[in-house]
Amino acid sequence: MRAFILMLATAAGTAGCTPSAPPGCPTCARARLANEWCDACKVGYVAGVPIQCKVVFECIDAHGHKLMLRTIECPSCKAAIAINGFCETCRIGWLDGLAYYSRLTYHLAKGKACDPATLGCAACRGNASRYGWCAACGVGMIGNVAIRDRKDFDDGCRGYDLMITAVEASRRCDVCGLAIMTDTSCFRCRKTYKDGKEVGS
Amino acid sequence: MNRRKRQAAAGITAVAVLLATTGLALGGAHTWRVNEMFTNSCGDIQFIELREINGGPGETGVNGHNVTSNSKSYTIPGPALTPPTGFKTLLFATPAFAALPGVPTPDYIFPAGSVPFFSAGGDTVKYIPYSTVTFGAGICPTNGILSLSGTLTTATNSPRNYAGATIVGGIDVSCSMSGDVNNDGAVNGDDIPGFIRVITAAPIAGDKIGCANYCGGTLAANIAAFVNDLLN
Repeated sequence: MRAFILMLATAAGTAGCTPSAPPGCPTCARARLANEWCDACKVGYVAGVPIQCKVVFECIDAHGHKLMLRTIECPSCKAAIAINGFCETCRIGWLDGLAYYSRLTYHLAKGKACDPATLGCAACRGNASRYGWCAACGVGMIGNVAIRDRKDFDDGCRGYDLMITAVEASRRCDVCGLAIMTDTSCFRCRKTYKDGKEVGS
Repeated sequence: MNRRKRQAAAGITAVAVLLATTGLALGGAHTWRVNEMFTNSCGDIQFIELREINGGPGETGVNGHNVTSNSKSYTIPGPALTPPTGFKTLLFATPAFAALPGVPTPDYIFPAGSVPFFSAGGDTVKYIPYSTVTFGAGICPTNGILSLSGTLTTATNSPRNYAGATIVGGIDVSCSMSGDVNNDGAVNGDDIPGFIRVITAAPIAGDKIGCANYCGGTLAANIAAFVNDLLN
Protein backbone atom coordinates (compact mmCIF):
# COMPACT_ATOMS: atom_id res chain seq x y z
CA MET A 1 0.00 0.00 0.00
CA ARG A 2 2.82 2.35 0.91
CA ALA A 3 4.56 1.61 -2.40
CA PHE A 4 1.31 2.40 -4.16
CA ILE A 5 1.09 5.75 -2.39
CA LEU A 6 4.63 6.60 -3.40
CA MET A 7 3.97 5.58 -6.98
CA LEU A 8 0.93 7.80 -6.90
CA ALA A 9 3.03 10.64 -5.53
CA THR A 10 5.54 10.23 -8.31
CA ALA A 11 2.83 10.02 -10.91
CA ALA A 12 1.18 13.10 -9.48
CA GLY A 13 4.44 14.91 -9.78
CA THR A 14 4.62 14.25 -13.46
CA ALA A 15 1.01 13.94 -14.55
CA GLY A 16 -0.85 16.49 -12.40
CA CYS A 17 -2.53 16.81 -9.03
CA THR A 18 -5.60 14.71 -9.66
CA PRO A 19 -6.70 12.50 -12.49
CA SER A 20 -8.89 15.30 -13.77
CA ALA A 21 -6.34 18.08 -13.34
CA PRO A 22 -4.47 19.34 -16.36
CA PRO A 23 -0.92 18.08 -16.52
CA GLY A 24 1.67 20.42 -15.12
CA CYS A 25 -0.66 22.50 -12.95
CA PRO A 26 1.55 25.53 -12.26
CA THR A 27 0.20 26.02 -8.77
CA CYS A 28 0.91 22.41 -7.93
CA ALA A 29 4.41 22.76 -9.32
CA ARG A 30 5.05 25.67 -7.00
CA ALA A 31 3.24 24.04 -4.09
CA ARG A 32 5.34 20.92 -4.46
CA LEU A 33 8.51 22.92 -3.91
CA ALA A 34 7.09 25.17 -1.22
CA ASN A 35 5.06 22.65 0.79
CA GLU A 36 1.89 24.52 0.02
CA TRP A 37 -1.72 23.87 -0.89
CA CYS A 38 -3.05 24.03 -4.42
CA ASP A 39 -6.59 25.27 -4.03
CA ALA A 40 -7.42 24.61 -7.66
CA CYS A 41 -6.66 20.93 -7.33
CA LYS A 42 -7.51 20.70 -3.60
CA VAL A 43 -4.22 19.04 -2.75
CA GLY A 44 -1.28 20.00 -0.59
CA TYR A 45 2.31 18.84 -0.71
CA VAL A 46 4.82 18.03 1.99
CA ALA A 47 8.20 16.77 0.82
CA GLY A 48 6.56 16.29 -2.54
CA VAL A 49 3.92 13.91 -1.15
CA PRO A 50 0.40 14.89 -2.22
CA ILE A 51 -2.10 15.22 0.63
CA GLN A 52 -5.73 15.65 -0.26
CA CYS A 53 -7.08 15.97 3.26
CA LYS A 54 -6.87 19.64 4.22
CA VAL A 55 -6.98 19.20 7.96
CA VAL A 56 -4.24 16.56 7.86
CA PHE A 57 -2.14 18.78 5.60
CA GLU A 58 -2.52 21.62 8.08
CA CYS A 59 -1.76 19.36 11.03
CA ILE A 60 1.48 18.20 9.44
CA ASP A 61 2.24 21.90 9.45
CA ALA A 62 4.44 22.53 6.49
CA HIS A 63 5.23 26.05 7.61
CA GLY A 64 6.39 27.37 10.91
CA HIS A 65 4.10 29.34 13.15
CA LYS A 66 5.07 32.80 14.25
CA LEU A 67 3.91 32.86 17.86
CA MET A 68 4.49 35.20 20.75
CA LEU A 69 7.30 33.38 22.48
CA ARG A 70 6.47 34.97 25.82
CA THR A 71 3.27 32.91 25.84
CA ILE A 72 5.18 29.62 25.72
CA GLU A 73 5.05 28.07 29.17
CA CYS A 74 6.50 24.60 28.63
CA PRO A 75 10.04 24.50 30.10
CA SER A 76 11.13 22.00 27.47
CA CYS A 77 9.88 24.28 24.71
CA LYS A 78 11.69 27.23 26.23
CA ALA A 79 14.91 25.23 26.22
CA ALA A 80 14.27 24.09 22.65
CA ILE A 81 13.64 27.64 21.47
CA ALA A 82 17.07 28.64 22.70
CA ILE A 83 18.83 25.92 20.72
CA ASN A 84 16.54 25.49 17.68
CA GLY A 85 15.59 22.13 19.13
CA PHE A 86 12.59 19.82 19.36
CA CYS A 87 10.37 19.57 22.42
CA GLU A 88 9.43 15.92 22.87
CA THR A 89 6.77 16.84 25.42
CA CYS A 90 4.77 19.10 23.15
CA ARG A 91 6.15 17.61 19.93
CA ILE A 92 6.97 21.05 18.62
CA GLY A 93 10.19 21.85 16.79
CA TRP A 94 11.58 25.35 17.13
CA LEU A 95 13.66 26.93 14.42
CA ASP A 96 14.61 30.61 14.38
CA GLY A 97 11.71 31.35 16.70
CA LEU A 98 9.12 29.62 14.53
CA ALA A 99 7.13 26.67 15.85
CA TYR A 100 6.80 23.52 13.73
CA TYR A 101 4.07 21.23 14.97
CA SER A 102 5.41 18.03 13.46
CA ARG A 103 8.78 16.32 13.68
CA LEU A 104 8.87 15.96 9.91
CA THR A 105 8.37 19.57 8.99
CA TYR A 106 10.75 20.75 11.70
CA HIS A 107 13.51 18.73 10.07
CA LEU A 108 12.38 19.56 6.55
CA ALA A 109 12.67 23.22 7.45
CA LYS A 110 16.38 22.69 7.87
CA GLY A 111 16.66 21.28 4.36
CA LYS A 112 16.11 22.56 0.87
CA ALA A 113 13.35 21.51 -1.48
CA CYS A 114 14.20 20.81 -5.08
CA ASP A 115 12.90 19.21 -8.20
CA PRO A 116 14.40 15.70 -8.05
CA ALA A 117 14.62 15.61 -11.83
CA THR A 118 17.28 18.31 -11.64
CA LEU A 119 19.54 16.30 -9.32
CA GLY A 120 22.73 15.16 -10.95
CA CYS A 121 23.18 12.12 -8.74
CA ALA A 122 21.12 9.08 -9.73
CA ALA A 123 21.16 7.76 -6.17
CA CYS A 124 19.79 11.02 -4.82
CA ARG A 125 17.13 11.05 -7.51
CA GLY A 126 16.12 7.56 -6.45
CA ASN A 127 16.14 8.49 -2.78
CA ALA A 128 13.70 11.29 -3.51
CA SER A 129 10.96 8.77 -4.26
CA ARG A 130 10.74 8.17 -0.51
CA TYR A 131 13.86 8.83 1.57
CA GLY A 132 17.45 7.72 1.61
CA TRP A 133 20.98 8.81 2.39
CA CYS A 134 23.61 9.15 -0.30
CA ALA A 135 27.05 8.61 1.20
CA ALA A 136 28.74 9.83 -1.95
CA CYS A 137 27.00 13.21 -1.84
CA GLY A 138 26.74 13.36 1.93
CA VAL A 139 23.09 14.31 1.66
CA GLY A 140 19.81 12.67 2.53
CA MET A 141 16.66 13.11 0.53
CA ILE A 142 13.33 13.03 2.32
CA GLY A 143 10.96 13.25 -0.57
CA ASN A 144 12.08 16.26 -2.55
CA VAL A 145 13.92 17.88 0.38
CA ALA A 146 17.69 17.60 0.65
CA ILE A 147 19.06 17.44 4.18
CA ARG A 148 22.76 17.53 4.94
CA ASP A 149 22.72 16.78 8.66
CA ARG A 150 22.53 13.04 9.24
CA LYS A 151 20.68 13.29 12.55
CA ASP A 152 18.13 15.66 11.10
CA PHE A 153 17.72 13.23 8.23
CA ASP A 154 17.24 10.21 10.49
CA ASP A 155 14.72 12.00 12.71
CA GLY A 156 12.98 13.41 9.70
CA CYS A 157 12.54 9.92 8.26
CA ARG A 158 10.59 8.92 11.36
CA GLY A 159 8.31 11.86 10.75
CA TYR A 160 7.96 10.97 7.07
CA ASP A 161 6.81 7.46 7.90
CA LEU A 162 4.27 8.86 10.34
CA MET A 163 3.02 11.27 7.71
CA ILE A 164 2.53 8.50 5.16
CA THR A 165 0.60 6.46 7.72
CA ALA A 166 -1.59 9.46 8.51
CA VAL A 167 -2.17 10.28 4.85
CA GLU A 168 -3.14 6.68 4.11
CA ALA A 169 -5.59 6.68 7.02
CA SER A 170 -7.04 10.04 6.04
CA ARG A 171 -8.34 8.52 2.82
CA ARG A 172 -10.67 6.50 5.03
CA CYS A 173 -11.16 8.94 7.89
CA ASP A 174 -9.72 12.43 8.26
CA VAL A 175 -10.03 12.34 12.04
CA CYS A 176 -7.98 9.15 12.16
CA GLY A 177 -5.36 10.94 10.10
CA LEU A 178 -5.27 13.73 12.66
CA ALA A 179 -5.18 11.26 15.52
CA ILE A 180 -2.20 9.45 14.01
CA MET A 181 -0.26 12.69 13.64
CA THR A 182 -0.99 13.74 17.22
CA ASP A 183 -1.13 10.46 19.19
CA THR A 184 -4.76 11.03 20.07
CA SER A 185 -8.09 9.34 19.41
CA CYS A 186 -10.62 9.34 16.63
CA PHE A 187 -14.09 10.00 17.97
CA ARG A 188 -15.72 8.59 14.82
CA CYS A 189 -13.89 5.29 14.61
CA ARG A 190 -13.23 4.98 18.35
CA LYS A 191 -9.55 4.31 17.73
CA THR A 192 -6.56 5.53 19.68
CA TYR A 193 -3.14 5.90 18.11
CA LYS A 194 0.40 6.04 19.42
CA ASP A 195 3.51 6.40 17.23
CA GLY A 196 1.43 5.68 14.16
CA LYS A 197 -0.09 2.47 15.47
CA GLU A 198 -3.54 1.76 16.76
CA VAL A 199 -3.30 1.03 20.46
CA GLY A 200 -6.87 0.91 21.62
CA SER A 201 -10.49 1.36 20.77
CA MET B 1 -0.16 37.35 -35.08
CA ASN B 2 -3.22 39.58 -35.27
CA ARG B 3 -4.36 41.90 -32.47
CA ARG B 4 -7.01 39.54 -31.02
CA LYS B 5 -4.64 36.64 -30.86
CA ARG B 6 -2.03 38.82 -29.16
CA GLN B 7 -4.58 39.91 -26.55
CA ALA B 8 -5.65 36.32 -25.94
CA ALA B 9 -2.06 35.25 -25.57
CA ALA B 10 -1.40 38.08 -23.14
CA GLY B 11 -4.44 37.12 -21.10
CA ILE B 12 -3.46 33.50 -20.94
CA THR B 13 0.06 34.46 -19.94
CA ALA B 14 -1.26 36.73 -17.20
CA VAL B 15 -3.44 33.98 -15.80
CA ALA B 16 -0.57 31.53 -15.96
CA VAL B 17 1.71 33.95 -14.11
CA LEU B 18 -0.99 34.53 -11.53
CA LEU B 19 -1.51 30.82 -11.01
CA ALA B 20 2.20 30.20 -10.85
CA THR B 21 2.73 32.81 -8.19
CA THR B 22 -0.42 32.20 -6.17
CA GLY B 23 0.33 29.17 -4.03
CA LEU B 24 -1.63 28.89 -0.84
CA ALA B 25 0.07 28.32 2.46
CA LEU B 26 -3.05 27.34 4.42
CA GLY B 27 -3.40 28.89 7.85
CA GLY B 28 -2.66 26.79 10.89
CA ALA B 29 -5.15 25.79 13.53
CA HIS B 30 -2.90 24.43 16.21
CA THR B 31 -3.05 27.03 18.93
CA TRP B 32 -6.77 27.22 19.71
CA ARG B 33 -7.77 25.82 23.08
CA VAL B 34 -11.06 25.16 24.87
CA ASN B 35 -11.23 28.25 27.05
CA GLU B 36 -14.69 28.38 28.61
CA MET B 37 -17.80 26.23 28.91
CA PHE B 38 -21.20 27.36 30.15
CA THR B 39 -24.47 25.58 30.71
CA ASN B 40 -27.70 26.24 32.52
CA SER B 41 -29.35 23.49 34.52
CA CYS B 42 -31.60 22.54 31.59
CA GLY B 43 -28.70 22.20 29.18
CA ASP B 44 -30.47 24.18 26.48
CA ILE B 45 -28.45 27.34 27.06
CA GLN B 46 -24.82 26.42 26.49
CA PHE B 47 -21.74 27.87 24.94
CA ILE B 48 -18.18 26.75 24.35
CA GLU B 49 -15.48 29.29 23.72
CA LEU B 50 -12.17 28.55 22.04
CA ARG B 51 -9.26 30.93 22.45
CA GLU B 52 -6.06 31.33 20.46
CA ILE B 53 -3.44 31.20 23.18
CA ASN B 54 -0.09 31.99 21.63
CA GLY B 55 -0.70 35.20 19.75
CA GLY B 56 -0.44 33.45 16.41
CA PRO B 57 -1.70 35.82 13.73
CA GLY B 58 -2.35 33.14 11.12
CA GLU B 59 -4.24 30.41 12.96
CA THR B 60 -7.10 30.72 10.51
CA GLY B 61 -7.63 27.13 9.44
CA VAL B 62 -10.18 26.01 12.04
CA ASN B 63 -12.79 25.19 9.40
CA GLY B 64 -13.04 21.46 8.91
CA HIS B 65 -11.94 20.71 12.44
CA ASN B 66 -14.31 19.25 15.01
CA VAL B 67 -15.54 20.36 18.41
CA THR B 68 -16.79 17.36 20.32
CA SER B 69 -18.16 16.13 23.61
CA ASN B 70 -18.59 12.54 24.67
CA SER B 71 -21.91 12.40 22.85
CA LYS B 72 -21.90 15.14 20.23
CA SER B 73 -19.69 16.43 17.47
CA TYR B 74 -19.71 19.58 15.38
CA THR B 75 -17.63 20.14 12.28
CA ILE B 76 -16.64 23.78 11.98
CA PRO B 77 -18.12 24.98 8.69
CA GLY B 78 -17.40 27.80 6.37
CA PRO B 79 -14.21 29.40 5.09
CA ALA B 80 -11.03 30.02 6.99
CA LEU B 81 -11.06 32.81 9.54
CA THR B 82 -10.06 36.31 8.61
CA PRO B 83 -6.71 37.10 10.18
CA PRO B 84 -5.25 38.20 12.49
CA THR B 85 -6.24 35.55 14.96
CA GLY B 86 -3.91 36.29 17.86
CA PHE B 87 -5.61 35.87 21.26
CA LYS B 88 -9.06 35.96 19.69
CA THR B 89 -11.97 33.77 20.71
CA LEU B 90 -14.50 31.69 18.84
CA LEU B 91 -17.97 31.30 20.29
CA PHE B 92 -19.98 28.13 19.75
CA ALA B 93 -23.46 28.15 21.27
CA THR B 94 -26.87 26.56 21.34
CA PRO B 95 -29.83 28.21 19.61
CA ALA B 96 -31.37 29.14 22.97
CA PHE B 97 -28.20 31.02 23.92
CA ALA B 98 -28.22 32.84 20.60
CA ALA B 99 -31.81 33.93 21.27
CA LEU B 100 -30.99 35.61 24.57
CA PRO B 101 -31.14 39.40 24.51
CA GLY B 102 -27.82 41.22 24.41
CA VAL B 103 -25.57 38.22 23.89
CA PRO B 104 -22.72 38.34 21.38
CA THR B 105 -23.67 36.67 18.13
CA PRO B 106 -22.18 33.21 18.21
CA ASP B 107 -19.67 32.48 15.51
CA TYR B 108 -21.17 29.01 15.20
CA ILE B 109 -24.52 27.66 16.40
CA PHE B 110 -24.97 24.03 17.26
CA PRO B 111 -27.90 22.41 15.47
CA ALA B 112 -31.01 21.80 17.57
CA GLY B 113 -30.38 18.07 17.51
CA SER B 114 -27.07 18.60 19.30
CA VAL B 115 -28.59 20.20 22.39
CA PRO B 116 -27.40 19.78 25.05
CA PHE B 117 -23.97 19.63 23.46
CA PHE B 118 -22.15 18.61 26.58
CA SER B 119 -23.25 17.14 29.89
CA ALA B 120 -22.92 19.21 33.03
CA GLY B 121 -22.66 15.99 34.99
CA GLY B 122 -19.27 15.19 33.52
CA ASP B 123 -17.90 15.23 30.01
CA THR B 124 -14.88 15.71 27.78
CA VAL B 125 -14.97 18.68 25.46
CA LYS B 126 -12.43 18.71 22.67
CA TYR B 127 -11.20 20.82 19.83
CA ILE B 128 -9.88 17.98 17.77
CA PRO B 129 -6.97 17.21 17.99
CA TYR B 130 -5.36 20.09 19.82
CA SER B 131 -7.33 20.66 23.03
CA THR B 132 -9.08 18.38 25.50
CA VAL B 133 -10.86 19.35 28.71
CA THR B 134 -12.31 16.63 30.92
CA PHE B 135 -14.43 17.29 33.96
CA GLY B 136 -16.33 15.05 36.33
CA ALA B 137 -19.62 15.32 38.11
CA GLY B 138 -20.16 18.45 40.15
CA ILE B 139 -17.42 20.44 38.44
CA CYS B 140 -19.31 22.35 35.79
CA PRO B 141 -21.59 25.03 37.29
CA THR B 142 -25.25 25.03 36.31
CA ASN B 143 -26.48 28.03 38.27
CA GLY B 144 -26.88 30.11 35.16
CA ILE B 145 -24.15 32.59 36.11
CA LEU B 146 -20.86 30.78 36.51
CA SER B 147 -18.93 29.04 33.75
CA LEU B 148 -16.07 26.54 33.70
CA SER B 149 -12.69 27.48 32.30
CA GLY B 150 -10.38 25.23 30.32
CA THR B 151 -8.33 24.84 33.49
CA LEU B 152 -11.44 23.82 35.48
CA THR B 153 -11.80 27.03 37.46
CA THR B 154 -15.14 28.78 37.73
CA ALA B 155 -15.99 32.42 37.26
CA THR B 156 -18.78 34.62 35.99
CA ASN B 157 -19.41 33.68 32.41
CA SER B 158 -17.89 35.90 29.74
CA PRO B 159 -18.80 34.82 26.22
CA ARG B 160 -16.88 36.61 23.49
CA ASN B 161 -17.07 36.05 19.77
CA TYR B 162 -14.40 36.40 17.09
CA ALA B 163 -15.25 40.05 16.51
CA GLY B 164 -14.63 40.71 20.18
CA ALA B 165 -18.26 41.31 21.09
CA THR B 166 -19.27 40.26 24.58
CA ILE B 167 -21.95 40.98 27.15
CA VAL B 168 -20.91 43.06 30.12
CA GLY B 169 -21.29 41.06 33.31
CA GLY B 170 -22.11 37.91 31.41
CA ILE B 171 -25.51 36.36 31.00
CA ASP B 172 -27.76 35.67 33.96
CA VAL B 173 -30.14 32.77 33.45
CA SER B 174 -30.19 31.84 37.10
CA CYS B 175 -33.42 31.07 38.90
CA SER B 176 -34.21 30.10 42.46
CA MET B 177 -37.87 29.32 41.75
CA SER B 178 -39.20 28.41 38.33
CA GLY B 179 -41.96 30.77 37.28
CA ASP B 180 -40.94 33.55 39.69
CA VAL B 181 -39.97 35.88 36.87
CA ASN B 182 -40.32 39.03 39.01
CA ASN B 183 -38.18 37.41 41.71
CA ASP B 184 -40.48 38.27 44.59
CA GLY B 185 -40.42 34.80 46.08
CA ALA B 186 -43.77 33.65 44.76
CA VAL B 187 -45.24 32.37 41.53
CA ASN B 188 -48.47 34.19 40.86
CA GLY B 189 -50.20 36.51 38.45
CA ASP B 190 -47.58 39.20 39.06
CA ASP B 191 -45.18 37.02 37.12
CA ILE B 192 -47.32 36.88 33.99
CA PRO B 193 -46.17 40.14 32.36
CA GLY B 194 -42.56 39.28 32.88
CA PHE B 195 -43.07 35.74 31.65
CA ILE B 196 -44.65 37.06 28.48
CA ARG B 197 -41.83 39.54 27.99
CA VAL B 198 -39.22 36.81 28.36
CA ILE B 199 -40.87 34.38 25.97
CA THR B 200 -41.31 37.15 23.39
CA ALA B 201 -37.63 38.06 23.70
CA ALA B 202 -38.35 41.46 25.18
CA PRO B 203 -37.39 41.26 28.85
CA ILE B 204 -36.79 44.36 30.89
CA ALA B 205 -34.38 44.93 33.73
CA GLY B 206 -35.46 42.89 36.70
CA ASP B 207 -37.04 40.04 34.72
CA LYS B 208 -35.48 36.72 35.69
CA ILE B 209 -35.04 35.17 32.27
CA GLY B 210 -34.05 31.82 33.71
CA CYS B 211 -37.30 31.55 35.64
CA ALA B 212 -39.35 31.41 32.44
CA ASN B 213 -37.51 28.23 31.49
CA TYR B 214 -39.02 25.09 32.97
CA CYS B 215 -36.65 22.89 30.98
CA GLY B 216 -39.63 21.80 28.97
CA GLY B 217 -37.66 21.85 25.79
CA THR B 218 -40.35 23.72 23.88
CA LEU B 219 -42.19 27.00 24.32
CA ALA B 220 -45.49 25.15 24.67
CA ALA B 221 -44.11 22.92 27.39
CA ASN B 222 -42.72 25.89 29.33
CA ILE B 223 -46.03 27.74 29.04
CA ALA B 224 -47.94 24.71 30.22
CA ALA B 225 -45.66 24.29 33.21
CA PHE B 226 -45.98 27.98 34.11
CA VAL B 227 -49.76 27.85 33.86
CA ASN B 228 -49.79 24.76 36.01
CA ASP B 229 -47.78 26.59 38.68
CA LEU B 230 -50.16 29.54 38.54
CA LEU B 231 -53.19 27.36 38.98
CA ASN B 232 -51.82 25.22 41.78
